[in-house]
Amino acid sequence: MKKFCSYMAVSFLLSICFMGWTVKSMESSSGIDEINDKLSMLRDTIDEYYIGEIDDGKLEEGIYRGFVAGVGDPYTSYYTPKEFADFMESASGVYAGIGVQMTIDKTDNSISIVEVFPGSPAEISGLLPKDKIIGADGTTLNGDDFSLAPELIKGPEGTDVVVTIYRPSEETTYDFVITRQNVIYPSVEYEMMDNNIGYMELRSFEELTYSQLVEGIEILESQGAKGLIIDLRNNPGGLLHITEQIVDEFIPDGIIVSTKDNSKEIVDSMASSDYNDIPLVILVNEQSASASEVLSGALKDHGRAKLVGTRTFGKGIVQSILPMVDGSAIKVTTSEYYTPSGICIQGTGIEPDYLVELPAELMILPNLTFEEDLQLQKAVEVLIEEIGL
Amino acid sequence: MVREMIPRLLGLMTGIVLAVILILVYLLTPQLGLATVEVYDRNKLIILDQVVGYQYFKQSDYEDRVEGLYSGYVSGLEDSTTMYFTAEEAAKWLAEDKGKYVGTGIKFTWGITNQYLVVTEVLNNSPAEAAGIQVGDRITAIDGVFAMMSNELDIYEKLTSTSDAVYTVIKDGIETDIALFSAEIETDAVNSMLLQNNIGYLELASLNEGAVEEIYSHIDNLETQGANKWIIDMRYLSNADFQETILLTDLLTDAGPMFLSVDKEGETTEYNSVNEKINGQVVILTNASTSGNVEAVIATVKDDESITTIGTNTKGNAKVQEFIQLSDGSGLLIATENLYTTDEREIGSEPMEPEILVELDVAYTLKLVTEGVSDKELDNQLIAAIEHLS
Repeated sequence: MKKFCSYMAVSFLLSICFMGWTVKSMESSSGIDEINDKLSMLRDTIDEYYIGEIDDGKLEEGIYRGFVAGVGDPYTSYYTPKEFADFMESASGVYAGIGVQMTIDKTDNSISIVEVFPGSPAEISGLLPKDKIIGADGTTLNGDDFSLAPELIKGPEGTDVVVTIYRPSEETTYDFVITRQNVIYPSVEYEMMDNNIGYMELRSFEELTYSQLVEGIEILESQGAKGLIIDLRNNPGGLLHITEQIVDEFIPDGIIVSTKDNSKEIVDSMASSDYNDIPLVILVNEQSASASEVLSGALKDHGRAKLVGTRTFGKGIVQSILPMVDGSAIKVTTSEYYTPSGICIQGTGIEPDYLVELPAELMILPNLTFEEDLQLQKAVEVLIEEIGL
Repeated sequence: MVREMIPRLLGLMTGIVLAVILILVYLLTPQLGLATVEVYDRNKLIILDQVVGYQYFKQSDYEDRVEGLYSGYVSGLEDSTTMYFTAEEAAKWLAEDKGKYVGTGIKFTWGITNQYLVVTEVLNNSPAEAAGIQVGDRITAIDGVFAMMSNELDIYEKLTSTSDAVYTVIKDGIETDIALFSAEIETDAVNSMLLQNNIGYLELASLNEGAVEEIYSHIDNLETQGANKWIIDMRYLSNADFQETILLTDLLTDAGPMFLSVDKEGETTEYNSVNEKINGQVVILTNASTSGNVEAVIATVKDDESITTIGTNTKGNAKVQEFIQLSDGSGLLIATENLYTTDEREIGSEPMEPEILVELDVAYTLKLVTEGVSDKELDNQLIAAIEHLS
């Protein structure tokens, strides 16, 4: 028994020393003490001066939120358990919307409609692209409320929402009562133009986009199309694997896109041999983002298509969502895309072969006629030269 | 032999198990720790740090995350008038509070495509002016980072940083690289001019110590030129010194009580007008950039028939604030008092509507975002103000 006690005492002390040292060094290496000191300094100052209510839970969430946001990337962020639950619910499509694509217009810090989906409640009610959403259900909205807007506008299917619109081209404000619906819209639209030119607009990259594109090209070719204009203007992106299929459809071999993460490891996705050799011109603009840039960048680098329009948006990063045990989650940008020639899409975008800018007064119009659409005219001109008509 | 080993082994094991239990108790009970009680979950922070540190696609600095933590902690108050400043931001804020501008001297707006910035103003005696930057120039990159919306955070950081930077600028269609540094520059708080129909136009850019004194001298000057009606342009006025807000309200009110402030102990302070009110009809121009304690001016003159507000809603976040600098140089701007009208309506908890709502014409904005400068003739809010006074 004596031996038991003495051995116990010795091992206890040794273990305490070792583990205590490990814990302590872990704390100081991550600067926990420093953080605690400063937080208590901030707290004392707030307690002494601040007039408003203090919610300790919110302050704690703020710590996690700020710590994650501190990397300086707008797409890397922390979700509280409630936010994450809401996110999962909206991602699973329980909520219905009105069928518009929105963006922040920085020139006047407003929420601007990029696109009104055909057949959507928004289109039926009369909303137009370039309309500004300045209110929803009585709440005033501007560019600062970009994440709030969808929360207000979305809701159970069949219910109504009042959306307040400012229409710059008419300088008028309208209230629209719109019934929410689950909107499925075609991501591909096509038509024949003069000179045997096929025109195909890709609005986004959804599950069905690849098969709709292939089907569309077949129909256009059967109608005599000798060249194709693919319009990626205002296309915000979508599913990468679908985009890769589309690139593969047009190139015989080589790299489709490369992804690089923190470990500097580069993963290339490669094309298979079958391809369609129809002459191509791609229309891009400052709202062509993400998957649109993967597609236009790959076809440009392979010399497969000429690009007409303006430099693309420059969003070439991938996020992963990592749930935590307490129900919260972090969304982290884990890797970035490179085009086959090694251009980093993020923050750079894809430069067109033919730069064609639209005059400012045309940029605020909801739809352009062929006569107004200088970019489309240039695309036709370039394609006619390519085909050799 | 074996029998002798058993108590020793048991002793060893029990010792280790007890130590583990003690360490766990220590870890899970912050009150027993050497540090103070923590307001957050330390283990969660360590996990967040590891996940972001290892998974994030680029190198990231731990220090940046910690600064973000402090900023996030203060943002947790969910008050738009209370915020944390890093040491660099705090130094800049303090200089600007003294009426100085800190930076290269360029004011800008995003171009219509969000792929360049348009220079809207170049401050006198600034590094940008010395380098030949002009209104209408387009900034396409800073230090090689494209001035695009997808780089928004990086670009804002570069624009507001006090470090040297190389600006890529398109002047008359030609792209050039211009190295710029940051400097402290004296700026005019007030610009004024005499408009048609004897209207004196006062544009308030900032309201720091001494600004209202400047306003008085501009008014005297304009009066000698015959001005007897006034347009006070407060459309881009925020972050005013509270004492100056009191003086500006005084200028626009007859002697008597103006507004009230209440501190956290419930102590009320009444602010009284001592000077005579300005002579003649007045129009105040407002928009969503009209923010902070200057909104008290607008709330106070709301019922005055001789003063009309024109434009769009104010921001709606008026509080009395105090700037506290911490020992490490960082700082806190804190809302310390609420503001109320004399009939006890809270000021600035909601945006304030102008008496005459006039949205700025698209034509004005379009010209501004393409050329960096727009014509006074296209400024329909100003035109509405002139018409109202004529």
